[in-house]
Amino acid sequence: MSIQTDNLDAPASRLRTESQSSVWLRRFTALAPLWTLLALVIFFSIASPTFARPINFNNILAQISTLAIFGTGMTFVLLTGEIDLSIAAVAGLAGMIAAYLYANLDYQEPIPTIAALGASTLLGLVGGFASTRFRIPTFMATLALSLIAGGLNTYVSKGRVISDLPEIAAFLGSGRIGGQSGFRVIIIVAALSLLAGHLVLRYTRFGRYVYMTGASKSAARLVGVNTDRILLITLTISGFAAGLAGIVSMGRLGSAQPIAIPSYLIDTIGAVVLGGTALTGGRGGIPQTVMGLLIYGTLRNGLDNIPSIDIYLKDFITGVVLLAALVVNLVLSGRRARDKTS
Amino acid sequence: MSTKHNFSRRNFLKGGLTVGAGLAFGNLMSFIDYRRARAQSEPIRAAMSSAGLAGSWNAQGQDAAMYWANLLGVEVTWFDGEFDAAKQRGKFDQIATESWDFVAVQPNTIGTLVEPIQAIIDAGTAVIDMDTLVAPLDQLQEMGVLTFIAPDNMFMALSVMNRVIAKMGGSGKISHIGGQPGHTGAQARGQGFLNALAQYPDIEIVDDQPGNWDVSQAAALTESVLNRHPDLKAIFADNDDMAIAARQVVENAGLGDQVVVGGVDAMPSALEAVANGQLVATCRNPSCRIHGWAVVAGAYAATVGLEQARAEIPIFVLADGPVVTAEIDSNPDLAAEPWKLANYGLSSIEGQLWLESQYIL
Repeated sequence: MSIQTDNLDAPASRLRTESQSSVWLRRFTALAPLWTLLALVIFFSIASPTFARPINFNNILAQISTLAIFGTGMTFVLLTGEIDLSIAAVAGLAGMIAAYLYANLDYQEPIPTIAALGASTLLGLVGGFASTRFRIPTFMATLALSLIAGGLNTYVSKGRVISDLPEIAAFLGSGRIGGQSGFRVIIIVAALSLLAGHLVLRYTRFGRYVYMTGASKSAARLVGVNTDRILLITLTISGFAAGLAGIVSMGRLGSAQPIAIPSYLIDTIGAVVLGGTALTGGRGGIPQTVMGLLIYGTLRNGLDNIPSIDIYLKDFITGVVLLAALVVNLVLSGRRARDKTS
Repeated sequence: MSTKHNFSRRNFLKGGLTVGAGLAFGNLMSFIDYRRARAQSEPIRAAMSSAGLAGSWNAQGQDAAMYWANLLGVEVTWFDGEFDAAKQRGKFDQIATESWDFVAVQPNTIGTLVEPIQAIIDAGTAVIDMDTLVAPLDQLQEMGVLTFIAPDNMFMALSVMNRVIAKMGGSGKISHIGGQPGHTGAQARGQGFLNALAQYPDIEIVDDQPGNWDVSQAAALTESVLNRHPDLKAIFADNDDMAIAARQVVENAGLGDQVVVGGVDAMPSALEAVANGQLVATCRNPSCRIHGWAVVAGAYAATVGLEQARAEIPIFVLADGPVVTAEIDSNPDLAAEPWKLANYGLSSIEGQLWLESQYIL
């Protein structure tokens, strides 16, 4: 429709047009992570004949499942504006505790798994206590906790791998429902973990307090939120999630390792932030984490499906695409926020 | 699923091959001739993965594998293990869903790839284990792994340690910087370190910790042990990169004349360090042999079929390498008969550097 400048209705019409375009822009930018994911899927489907297969999509889900469990806990922590650097080490320790109790001390299930989850939850609680009681920044408290957990792992394992695993860990990590080609249990565990996290954050008072704490601690305190308790609980949840991820990871890898898997920490934080959960707290959530995990998993898997890419360039390309995805997701999200404010 | 290539009697004879019971090659050289003739027309498709290409030893091995693959008409897709067991596992889950003629792997740690590798083997694809055990040796055979091509890690450490102990004069304090604890090669090198010391009660182990193949950790461990034991006489590191890092710390502390350092792998930089007197000894962990032979074994299995390859290729193939020192055997009593001297009274370093540059050792 053309707009005549001498028409008296022109300003109203222009406003209406701008308003509609603004709405569409907002809708578009709100779904930026989805567009990023779709773009990656389309690109890799064209570039690689082995990418767009149901079995490969199943692979992507399995590859991000451990990160998803870590990510559930990390989403809680990041939403409060804090960070947990201990998750990889706590996960390694949890796996080793379960395997050691089962293989070396002959404890029967579920004792090894419960003990491992208990220890990881306790470590999360200790991290939370150190941060809230002694005002140690979570960055430092959880860094120390990471060294403690890593050191305990090395001490318990004496540097040895244990491959005789508890049945629960083997089932959670490597089990399938419906036979050898059935659905992987690890994906179900990850989905349940994310769902539980989403329900808590979305539908409970505690969940709202997590957002309030992250958005503004002082404002949250003014309205009666015990922010210390919220932080304590979120770090405890993160510890539990790390322990569960450690059990599942051990089951998937078929052995308990004497050192933590280093990439778990950075990959988890990267995926959660990539989805749109802010490092500064108060913004994001489990749906964003799911999108971040899918983007990250698709990118890593997709590059491995293109054999013509120089193997020494893959990390560089991964970095460039991640940066581009962050720009699309976060800058557009920022614009959306500004639009809303205006 | 494995592809058994068309292998008619005519092709067989054309290739200058020997026919025994069923399909058989006279030797690997005739097989290589055969593959060279069909490199373009009948390519073989392989997936290969090593612990992490950021490691110089692994990168050298990948170069050698690609060289041999090109020679034999093997199209290799490389999956970088990124020194991360979880990432390598993710890639193997993917490898297991595709079709390959053979798969060769150096796992990051033992036990982490068993499930997808079993699926690959069950699909009829040859799997070659390189350098580090995928699973305990007995389980490796049960799984149906074609062959395990590896160095004798215990022997390599023992050989270097013998030189280190000789330099120490059989007494004093020594420190050990281990590799990654879950790495079977690192565990064997640690055992070689202990075995060498078993006959020397006057040598005291003052520190024995994993450096995780990480040069910064190796440097930190060295600084720490030198603080606690300024009279330290020797350091043995499970690989050359860590040994060179430790040596740098020793020299920075002004103890270059007091502390001798030995490593393993005999990478070009370490050979130069031995020549310069920075390292007392290293032992060749022949990455080119391990990776190159894996390509040959995999291509062979893809050509003659997995069952025949299993019948012909032993479950364990030792990839050996010599120990390297800067010392020249110059016994004047044997000057007229140099063939009785170690290395003919010559340095072996230049020869080793040449072999590595040619992807042979």
